Amino acid sequence: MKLPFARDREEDARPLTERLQEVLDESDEPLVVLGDDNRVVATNRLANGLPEPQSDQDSYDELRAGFTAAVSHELRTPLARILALLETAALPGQDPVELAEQARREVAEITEVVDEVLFLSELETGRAIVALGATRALPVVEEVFARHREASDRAAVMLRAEGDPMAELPLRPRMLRVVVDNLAQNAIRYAGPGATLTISVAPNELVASDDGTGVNTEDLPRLFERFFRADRVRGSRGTGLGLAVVKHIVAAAGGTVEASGEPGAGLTVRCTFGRSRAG
Amino acid sequence: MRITFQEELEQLQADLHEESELVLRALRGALNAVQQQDVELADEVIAFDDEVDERYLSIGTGIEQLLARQTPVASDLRLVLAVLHINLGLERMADLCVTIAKLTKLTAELEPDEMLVEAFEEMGSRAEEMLRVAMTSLAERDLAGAESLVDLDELIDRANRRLVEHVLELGNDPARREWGLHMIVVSRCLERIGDHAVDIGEQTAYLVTGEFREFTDASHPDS
Repeated sequence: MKLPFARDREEDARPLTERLQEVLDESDEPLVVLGDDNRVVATNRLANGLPEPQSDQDSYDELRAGFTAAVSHELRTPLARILALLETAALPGQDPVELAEQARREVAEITEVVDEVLFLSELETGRAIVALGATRALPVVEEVFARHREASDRAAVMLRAEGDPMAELPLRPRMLRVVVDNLAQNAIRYAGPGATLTISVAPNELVASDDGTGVNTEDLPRLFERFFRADRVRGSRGTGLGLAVVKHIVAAAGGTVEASGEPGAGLTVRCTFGRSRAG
Repeated sequence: MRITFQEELEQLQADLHEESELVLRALRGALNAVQQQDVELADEVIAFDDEVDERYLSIGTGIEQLLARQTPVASDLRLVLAVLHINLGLERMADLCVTIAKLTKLTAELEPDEMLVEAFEEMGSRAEEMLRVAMTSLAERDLAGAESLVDLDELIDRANRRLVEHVLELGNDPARREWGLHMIVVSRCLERIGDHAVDIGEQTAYLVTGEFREFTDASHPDS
């Protein structure tokens, strides 16, 4: 590798970093230049795809900071709307009853976010009981779908339950309801009109697949992150915690969750549980 | 033949550990149910006892067969006898969780007392810790770990006494007193779960030393 300093020293008046960058970019190997404090000074295009070296503590701090920022953001948005509503209500000629109703809906949304964040942390600390024996899944799926009928009709999304009526999953009925609830809400909100969500159950397996708008392939691994919402659904309501909750419940019961699909070809979420009887 | 015997012994211990995991789950369920007055969860805890019983019976059958077919001696025999005792202790613990769940259902309509609910969380966490310590000490044949259960038990006993005193001070409201009386039994159940954990510790000591002794002897306090 040629060093930038040896070359054209007299003629090149550009700053050192710029010249360094040029040399790095010429290389066909990923290169990272570290400074004294181990901070990255420069990288080339190839290295940009690689994760930076990080200690566990760094990753944890970053995750926590990111999570706090996300929570504050999620709460600040409805709070700002409430403030605006209240200020409007104080103006002459406004309809305070209507504005109060809108503010009430915003409060309900904040409550939902707070409840879900608390629920997630209970799941993480292992204090919430997720599995206590097994539950026959199909009747629970049908029951949850019945509750969503009105919302799904409005969104023109069909909900279908199928599979082995005797199939059991190692989850408490309440936790299974939360899982199905979140999968159904996800499809109702994002699959798009005309789509069908099918939840099929088999022993130790639950698969939710829709034929809706789908998500970008690069978004698939991020679907289960807290507060992640793909760009095209940014504007819509929802806490952004639904699939994170699904993942945590299934993981707490010793199972795994994976998402597959592509844009235009729908989304499939597969929850698989261990074979052990107790889960 | 002897290899199979060792494998059977290993399997028996593994089953015992799985049983203790089930008991821990029942205990956490019972604690959450009583603290949150969650009747649905209480019902599930009661139904879940069938799984513990099933495990208890299958371990019992395993011991019977092992004794009949292999006639173990010396430390192997002590291990089989210890498993027999501990199996019963674990099943009793699960029964105590069922009692807590039943009391939760009986008192679901009554106004809870905030301080007692917190006391249950403390006692419950201690009981969970004791069961974990008891099972780890057993697995690692750790005499010091088993003996440490006595100190942990003292803490849970004290919490139980404090709780009884608090209930006595609840005052004259009949509904609160009714609730308090039921909660004394819940507290007593948690305290008993701690005692069973100490019993597991005594079995571990018996396994390691070959000599059975009670860690604390109420009939001869000075000996």
